[in-house]
Amino acid sequence: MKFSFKPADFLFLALSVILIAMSLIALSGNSEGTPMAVIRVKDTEYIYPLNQPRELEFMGELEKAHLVIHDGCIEFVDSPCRDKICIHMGQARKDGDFLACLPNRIIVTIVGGHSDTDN
Amino acid sequence: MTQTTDKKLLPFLAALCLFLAAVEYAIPKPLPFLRLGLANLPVIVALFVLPTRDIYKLILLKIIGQALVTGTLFSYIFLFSAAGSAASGLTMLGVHLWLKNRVSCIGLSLAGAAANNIAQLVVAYFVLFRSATRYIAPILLISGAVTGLVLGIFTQMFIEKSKWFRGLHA
Repeated sequence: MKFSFKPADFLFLALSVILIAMSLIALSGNSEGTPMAVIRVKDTEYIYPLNQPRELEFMGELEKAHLVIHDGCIEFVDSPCRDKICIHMGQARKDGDFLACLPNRIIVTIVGGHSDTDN
Repeated sequence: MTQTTDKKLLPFLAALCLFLAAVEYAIPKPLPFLRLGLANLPVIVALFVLPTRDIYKLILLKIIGQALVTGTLFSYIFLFSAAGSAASGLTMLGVHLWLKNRVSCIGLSLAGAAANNIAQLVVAYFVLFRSATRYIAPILLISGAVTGLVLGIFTQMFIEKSKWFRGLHA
């Protein structure tokens, strides 16, 4: 069982290791920092950081919906939909949380930030 | 090497790709992307014995053969395997032409595995996962480097030991 490494083999071994390290850095780098709210209104996406208070209005499929970002979370405060499920969904603040108003076609997902669920 | 051996060698290596793809298909995988890459062995061997234009053909035949054996032709999985095979094949060819005898099968295999995985991640980004691609990237790259290294060592031992291979060079 013998085989021989050649000098350039180590170059590619090092390259592979660097690549893996980079992918791990990308993983940890992005999971920290402030969570962002990705708001999908009909076919358009808007992204806002959750660490800055903000009042938002979006023209959905039905009428204007009113969302508020405060204290590191986002919530629907007013919506033209019938059942107001989106308002009752309450606040979204951590990675993976989401709010949705299907009649008005507005979907909010939180990405980034520390996730409490271990995956 | 004579013209006649070339003509037999390309279909033989392509058939070997097909066979190894079938072997690989029979081995259970924890995730669809985690693969051994056995079918890359004939491509690495080919670098040493086939002219460059036949290597392009072999890569193409490998892509089609693999898709037929695994039943993924015309499915989105085909995009992954085609992009991966093309990227790894062309990268290995480039590295071989560039470094010639300074690189062994081990370096070639590692470079091919890395190119394969980068290509698959790019496809994954656009087709499936978008920003979630970064969650599968480390798994794919680590497993790819390990299987690439093992396959490279195996191929290196093969071409150092094989009488058949020595016969081709004679």
